[in-house]
Amino acid sequence: MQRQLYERFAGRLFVVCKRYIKEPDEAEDVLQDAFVKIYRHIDSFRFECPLEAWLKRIVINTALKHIRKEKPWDNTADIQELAPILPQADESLPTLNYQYLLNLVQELPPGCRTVFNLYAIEGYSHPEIARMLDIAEGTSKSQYARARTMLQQKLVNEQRYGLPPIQNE
Amino acid sequence: MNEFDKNPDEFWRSVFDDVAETPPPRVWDAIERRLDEPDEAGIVPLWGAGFFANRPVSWGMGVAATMALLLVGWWLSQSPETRQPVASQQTKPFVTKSPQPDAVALNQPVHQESSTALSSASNKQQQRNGAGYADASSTKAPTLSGRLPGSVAPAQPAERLAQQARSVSARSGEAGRLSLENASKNPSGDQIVMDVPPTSPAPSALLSSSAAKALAAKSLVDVPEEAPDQLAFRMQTLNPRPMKLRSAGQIHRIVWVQPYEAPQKPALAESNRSSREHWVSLNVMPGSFNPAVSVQAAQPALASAYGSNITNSSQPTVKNRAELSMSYQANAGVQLNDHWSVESGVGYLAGHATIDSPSEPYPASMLSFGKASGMPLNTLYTDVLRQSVQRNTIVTADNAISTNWASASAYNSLYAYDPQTRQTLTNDYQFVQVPIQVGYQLRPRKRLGLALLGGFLTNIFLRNMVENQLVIKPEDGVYQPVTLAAAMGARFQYRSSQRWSASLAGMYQPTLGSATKSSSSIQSRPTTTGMSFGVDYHF
Repeated sequence: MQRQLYERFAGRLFVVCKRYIKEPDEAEDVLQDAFVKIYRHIDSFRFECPLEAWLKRIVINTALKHIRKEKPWDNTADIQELAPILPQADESLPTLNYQYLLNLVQELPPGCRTVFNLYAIEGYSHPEIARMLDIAEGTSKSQYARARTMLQQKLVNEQRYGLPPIQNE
Repeated sequence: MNEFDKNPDEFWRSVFDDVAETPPPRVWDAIERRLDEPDEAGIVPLWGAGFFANRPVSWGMGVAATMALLLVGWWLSQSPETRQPVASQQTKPFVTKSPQPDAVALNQPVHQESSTALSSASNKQQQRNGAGYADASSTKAPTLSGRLPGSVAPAQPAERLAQQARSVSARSGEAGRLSLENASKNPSGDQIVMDVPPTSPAPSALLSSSAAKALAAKSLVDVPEEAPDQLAFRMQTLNPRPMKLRSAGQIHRIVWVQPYEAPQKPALAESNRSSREHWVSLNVMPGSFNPAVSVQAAQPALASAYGSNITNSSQPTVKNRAELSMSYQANAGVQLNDHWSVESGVGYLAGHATIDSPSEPYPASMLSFGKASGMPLNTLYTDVLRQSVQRNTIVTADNAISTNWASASAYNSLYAYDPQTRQTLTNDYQFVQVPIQVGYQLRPRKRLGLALLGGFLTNIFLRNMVENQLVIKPEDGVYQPVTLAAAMGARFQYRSSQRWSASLAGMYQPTLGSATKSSSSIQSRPTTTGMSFGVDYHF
């Protein structure tokens, strides 16, 4: 039973870990911790939400616990400082693959990466993120803006300067 | 403006939706290893700072202390004296004594010692069945909407879990992703809305099926991180909202190609690891052994057979006192599942007790002198014991009927016991024990475990030595060669490492039925109570 659960969901949850944790070894550790936690609390799952959402939530919490030790959001840039340099991409982006985009996210500074994942991908609001990470709401907003700017810059640079083409696997 | 610029968040969300990357096999190996270890949350030292502050430990210590007090109390209440009246029809001639103590040589064994075969029980393993989360052979995948609370009929948790797993599996095979446009075309089907705190900005209420997971996860924001069992949220059907149209203008198309993902194969071969755990243990149990001896009156038949007068005696009694006894056991067990275990083994019980019996009216000084010098024991208990031995000897050896039994009668007919003169006789019992017991673990996978034990104990009688002079053996026909005792108790087990653990158990072992033969004038129903200390090695 435990093995089946792992084989069914480990792949997706591993991607979640890698979105939050850049180092592969640390991402594996987080996945491992999360699954141990899942198995020890699986009897508390009450079928009130999709199982995968429940599993994902535990993985995210485990990843956040891991990230909190580093306090990555101490160096925050104000959103106003970054606003003027937001690029305007008006061309179609080339075909991208998941691995390339994952690398872009992983290259973000830890604080930006965490907030970006929580806000843009998981769908949390800034007040919720502020409570989760014990930071100011403004910090969450600025970190997200910074992450978004950096990602946009990288994508635009790729199309402008013809960075190595990204091939789908 | 392209899709990215219009809604970058949705862009990123869709990128990472339904992508999977097989973790290295070492991740599962590590998980498996950690699951085999005791629960980290339950690690508590048996000593050191903060030990008593731990609630489970303090409760466990309280239960253990209560059990110990109850056992000691029971021991004290049982051990002082167990008065057993001699039958009212005891005859005077029987409780008399012959002046010539020639009936039985007290320090002479009646028969040669014989060997006793031991048998041990073997455990039968049972196949453990467990409900899986998902049935890989199942082909029918329920729809995503089937997972919504409003449409899910109450079902067994395991079945619902498997259903969700199959649903996700089926969905992972879809080539394309559902877009927001698709969702808006079908607003009443799979759309859900989550309750969010009033202070929180309302999230995007309109979601596609593929976004349901992210929304569900979002709803869990207020759940404490360390308490995933409190993941509770409320879902209700969303009222349809008008479809959002794209702004007019040039449309930049971004072609998203789903990278080919090879079908995920199990990264690891099926584990041959058995979840059953085996262990061996060595236990020492100091405790009390109370033989509960009583003297029955077989005398009426004997008296009438020899033409003696039957008179009521003053009903002299024998008193039992439990003494410190030791039991040694080597056991092997198997853990059938998280809660149940079976164990068996072999043991040795050295039971000590004293029996206070009426004696012949020797002066006290003479009694003490005689005891020290190995003087023949002439007490009610020993005489009845000897007669039981003799009678069984006669039954098995007809050639001695006339001489020996007549001597015994003459021996007893000439002397009456004085209830005021009593003599304390030590009894040293020896048994070989074969326990078979079932354990129910109340705290599975915890470092400090508590299990309830129940089962049976086969006691194979070896011998009983009375006052280091009179030896009763199985072939004497007084004691049952094999008796059955119930075994019950509770055991604390402290798992100091993956392999080793220490256990402390309180055991109560009453004999079922009489330990003596029905033809014997001595009746005994021993009871053993004690605290067992053990060391276990787990495989």
